[in-house]
Amino acid sequence: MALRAGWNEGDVVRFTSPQYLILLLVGCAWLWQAWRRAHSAHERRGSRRHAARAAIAVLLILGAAGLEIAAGPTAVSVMFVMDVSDSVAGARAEMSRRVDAMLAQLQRGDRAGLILFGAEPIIERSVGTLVDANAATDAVVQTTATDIEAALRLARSALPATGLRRIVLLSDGQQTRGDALREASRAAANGVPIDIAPPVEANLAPSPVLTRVSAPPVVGVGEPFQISLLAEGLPGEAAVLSIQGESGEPATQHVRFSPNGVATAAQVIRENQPGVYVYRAGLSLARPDPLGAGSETSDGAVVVVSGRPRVLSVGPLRGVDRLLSASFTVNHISATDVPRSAAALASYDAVILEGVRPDVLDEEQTAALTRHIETRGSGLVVLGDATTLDATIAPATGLGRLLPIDVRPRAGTRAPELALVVVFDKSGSMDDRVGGQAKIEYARQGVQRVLDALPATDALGVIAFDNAPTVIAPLAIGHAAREISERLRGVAPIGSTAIAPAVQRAIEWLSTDEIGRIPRRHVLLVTDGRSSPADAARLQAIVKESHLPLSIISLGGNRDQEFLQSLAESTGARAYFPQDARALPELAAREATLVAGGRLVEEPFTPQGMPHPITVGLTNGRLPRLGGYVVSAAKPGAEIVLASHRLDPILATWRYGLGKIAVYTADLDGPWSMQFRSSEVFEPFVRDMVRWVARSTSDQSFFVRIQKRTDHAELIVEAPRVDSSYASLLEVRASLRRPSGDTEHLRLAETMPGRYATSVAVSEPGPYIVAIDGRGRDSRFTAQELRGFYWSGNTERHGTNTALLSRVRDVTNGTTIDGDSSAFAARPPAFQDARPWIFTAAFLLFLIEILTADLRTVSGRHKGDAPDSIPRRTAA
Amino acid sequence: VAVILDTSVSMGTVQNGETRFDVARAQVRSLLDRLPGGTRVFLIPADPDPRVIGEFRASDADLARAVSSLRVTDAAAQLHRAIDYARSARVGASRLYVFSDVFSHVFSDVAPAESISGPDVEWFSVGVPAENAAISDISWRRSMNRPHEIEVLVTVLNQGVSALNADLTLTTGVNPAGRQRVSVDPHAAAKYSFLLTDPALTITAHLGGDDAVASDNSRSLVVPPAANVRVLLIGEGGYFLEKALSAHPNVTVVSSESADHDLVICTGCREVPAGTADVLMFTPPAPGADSFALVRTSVEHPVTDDVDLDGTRAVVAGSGTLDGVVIAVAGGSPAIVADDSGARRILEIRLDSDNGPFPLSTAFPLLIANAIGWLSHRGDNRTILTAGEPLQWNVGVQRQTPVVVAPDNREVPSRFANGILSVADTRVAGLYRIRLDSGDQTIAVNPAVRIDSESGGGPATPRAAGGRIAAATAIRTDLTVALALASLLLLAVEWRCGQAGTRVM
Repeated sequence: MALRAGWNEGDVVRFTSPQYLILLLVGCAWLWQAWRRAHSAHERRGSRRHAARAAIAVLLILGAAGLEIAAGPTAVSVMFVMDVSDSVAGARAEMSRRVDAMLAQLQRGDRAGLILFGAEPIIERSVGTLVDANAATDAVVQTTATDIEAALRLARSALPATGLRRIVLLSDGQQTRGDALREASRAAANGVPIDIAPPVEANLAPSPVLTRVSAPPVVGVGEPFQISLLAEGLPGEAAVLSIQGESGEPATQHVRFSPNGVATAAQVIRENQPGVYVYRAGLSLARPDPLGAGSETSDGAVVVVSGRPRVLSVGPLRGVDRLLSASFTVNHISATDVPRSAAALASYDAVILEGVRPDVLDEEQTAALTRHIETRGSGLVVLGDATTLDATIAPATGLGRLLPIDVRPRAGTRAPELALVVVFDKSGSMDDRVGGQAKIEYARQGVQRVLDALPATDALGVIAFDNAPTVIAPLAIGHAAREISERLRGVAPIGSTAIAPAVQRAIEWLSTDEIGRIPRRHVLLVTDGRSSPADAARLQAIVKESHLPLSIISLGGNRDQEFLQSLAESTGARAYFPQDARALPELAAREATLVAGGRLVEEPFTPQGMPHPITVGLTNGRLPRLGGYVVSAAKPGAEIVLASHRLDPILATWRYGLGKIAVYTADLDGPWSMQFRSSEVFEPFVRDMVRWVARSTSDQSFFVRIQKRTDHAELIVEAPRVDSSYASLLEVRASLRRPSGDTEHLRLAETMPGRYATSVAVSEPGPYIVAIDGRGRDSRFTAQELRGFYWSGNTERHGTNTALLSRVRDVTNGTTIDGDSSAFAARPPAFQDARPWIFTAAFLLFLIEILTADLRTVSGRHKGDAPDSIPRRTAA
Repeated sequence: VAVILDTSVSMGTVQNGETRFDVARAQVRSLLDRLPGGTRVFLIPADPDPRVIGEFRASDADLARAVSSLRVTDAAAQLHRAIDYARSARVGASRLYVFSDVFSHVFSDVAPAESISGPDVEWFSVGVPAENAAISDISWRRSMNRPHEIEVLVTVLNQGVSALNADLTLTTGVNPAGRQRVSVDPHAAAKYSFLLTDPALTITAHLGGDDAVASDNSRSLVVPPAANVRVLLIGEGGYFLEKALSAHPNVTVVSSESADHDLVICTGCREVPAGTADVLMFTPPAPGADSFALVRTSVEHPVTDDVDLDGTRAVVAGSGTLDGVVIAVAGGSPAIVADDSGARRILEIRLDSDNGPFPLSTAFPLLIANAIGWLSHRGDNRTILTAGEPLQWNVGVQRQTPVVVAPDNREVPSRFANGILSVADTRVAGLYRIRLDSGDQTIAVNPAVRIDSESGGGPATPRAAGGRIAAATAIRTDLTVALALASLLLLAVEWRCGQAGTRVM
């Protein structure tokens, strides 16, 4: 018997409030006193009454104390939580058999349910409906991941809120999501023990898999390093492990899995050029995989090879080569010799284009350069001047796409406004073909380039003409480039040529009151010049009368060249006569930029420096005087490091893919920067600029760790200082290049002093490369790192995570179920509340006692006896 | 139907003189008025461990009382879990009403959209963006070479549309330890650093000024003392092992088995030494053993954190006895094995610690330091939690069951089994005390500040004294005992009166 609200084996009764049993002692004393008095008074009939009342009192005390009577073993509600993820695929049958064995040991009143889980849990059988685990095959569960926490949470919520409850976890404990211990704490607090039933290890024999490829993250040029492979598989089985770099044949090793089920292979490699190297490793078997998981698996490693930074200087000028030679290995080539493959550029940490017109680089060279910067983390410095930064650089194509600036004069308070009408020929002669395309096509492209070159805030109109003008786009501020492009596509070359009516229409547009207020008004005529003399005379008269500038691009060769030249020059504009129609688009864009005006600023000024690693040497008192620059605007995401007095970019930077790009617009080798070149800050400035842009593979200021988790990687950067403190409050960013080629920019949060971290979601297998940049608030602290890791996509773990399972068991006070033993054999007895019976008995006794007394009273009156309640001595 | 009520910190935002939670409760009452009186209603607070407060009829006065008794917590909302729970077999609600200051799309990154916004779910949103600032994070780190110095990093989050200018103060215990003027742009965060010497155990950062939510203006941390580890060395030790131990600042080597020790390092042991202390074993070297390159397995284990083992050649000492997690292999055999499944932690290194390149490598002392850290359970017990996170402390064998005391001095329900103390109810932020045989231990529970709150979240301002999660479970009281005692008393009185009457007559 237990007096506490607990239980012990063998208990028959127990009390929920045993403290009230003390009243029994009080009652006994009372009863003894009452009994003695009754005997002394010879109240035999009264003693019966005392006995009845004493019995009622005892019953009431037992009821108050909460008497409960053992009623057999307690019924239990069990939720079996069975792992069906890939890592336990071989043990599925065994686990089902064990569930069935445990089900067979359930007793009457017990209820069981079943949850299957992998990446997510699903209730296969709710509590009370499970009778056969083998029949439970309806559920479709994603098996590529394991979330034990979610499964346990669902199990707990699916169990009844009260009563004896248990969860039996059948899993290898290799969770890939969530935290099972977190849910174990909640289960413990709710009084739900979790029993563990790990599968038999022999049934977890893995399908052969390459579990790890290890390599040092950073090595020096020429330094030998080892790539190690670790594979797990069936003991004694033969396999082939291979390692392959980005070029060359794979190195293979034939191995046999040891009695412990592991096999290793290693390859020593040496790289003689700095750069980022990806090595792919593979495992293949001679036999097909019995589990159907495929007989080949792959993984890989990424190694950064660092050395003395190498710079490729491109162009006719060698102004900066001398300045850089102390810190970099500089190779100089002409623009035509720029490699046409990214592989040929791989060893260069930065490329400098000085005095190189973008159109000098062909498509292959531009693509190679772009790929080198974007995917290999190299840097690009463009030292621009009036000839190289012009309208031929389209902001969204070719080299222009790389630049952080847009060289078109932009809108804003400082931008001159322009009203431009493009009048282009669509007569039948424009159907003549040049280079496989009709001339009308080049005219269309020319108009398109004008559209690209002009900011949307300027006014633009477009007229096509044959013998009569056709309005493509009425002159209006805020032209809609897309609509105009679509209309241009619908223009077909047909008819004779009459220039004058179209130009007259343009002049009429430009002469309205609204447009007349715009400071610059201009007509750009594109034609092949085959007009009639009458039309030419009329054109001349109209133009002369209008006093508006008329620029002409003529595709008609020498025909009417003299007339057109004089006509354009008479208005103060220019005429172009390209020999090749293919030059038309570029000429149109350049002319549009010229007529827009404001492309260059040529006046002395002192630039403003922003806090940046490049400008550390340019403190406010040491900023140089400059004589001019090419007007441009920073693209979204770009950073203006040096700005003009009008806040135009002088030096702008941004990150492009994994690489960094800087553009200097004030002609570093020309007269604009003459004073700057003679200053003592010039050389450090150039060096800092190239150093910041150049790919930096390893920096002693940062220690980088990449921890691959099951569905993500953690990027952790430690920033200690030399004085043993931590570099706190840094701005640490990273650019991540995914295997698909997409680049993602990340910001690392400072999780504790000097530690910066972020999580990288990974899904696609392949190499991930990360360029990390750190900067202090005052830009005096800078650090850069380049790292990589390889994501195989294989999140499967082998064996049993006994540490986790044991902890789950211990936290919840559960048990380990070995073999077919059941956790339900020992269970507390169920106790039934006896109070209803006790109170009913007390009430019946009370009734009997009353009825008996009444019957005696009636009977006594009939016999003439005095009732019990009348004392004898009174009657006497 | 199920009524799911957001009880997270941001629901305590005061707007127009009342909290969002007050508004939500009014909406709940309005909904209940519109429901047919016989409708079965489950009331579920959406805190980190969703549960049913009770099952009521819509017209039941107890339901209204239960709604009124709910309070805002300092924890984050787990609305998607509450919704899952409401749909689960235990509740089985066919219609769900969610009252919150966030919208369903906020949770789309943690739960499928259909699961949180299906046709059976109706959302009631309360609140508008508020002017609030919070201390969203506090962390610390001991200086590398100056153990008496720590650096504290505090993150201040401005959730409002106005720039924040306020004082940020740091106190150690009750003493001021630092003050900085902070300036944070709207919808931005800024970090501030403090350097403290000889810090007290408890450090609290406080942000001055009035805003929509008061309690997220403070955040605490507990700095555990740098514990000394007493190592019993059994066997010959070896030059490199002793060097590695002597380089460890917090290790004291004892040589007598009778001396108190925290862990055992045994060189040349063939079996695990007897006792209860955790063990680092070096398998005895075999004569003429070969050396192989070490390769770490895919197991992430604290013993190999920051240790570059790969490729290091080591003389394989021999086969061991431990059946645990293989951390590294050499020559196809397990080389480093860890076992955490029993009452003791055991690490077996089956490599020669005195010969070959392994003990000469930089990895060796780091491996030993990590091993001591893992075996001494350092860092196992967290001293900083976010409200709502379960607490799990490994406290070992205790003579008396540990007691957990909340900041408001109430005893928190806890479970103690197998030396592990578990507490699920940490919904109230503040300093908790754990009473152990060895004395009180303190942990800091900080409010959950939603960084990406669209409505400027934070814990509640107005709240009743005492526990904030009021259990509405004590609505009905069992009167059986009282009635039984009353009957007994009546019986005694009647009996006594009967006797007295007898004597009189």
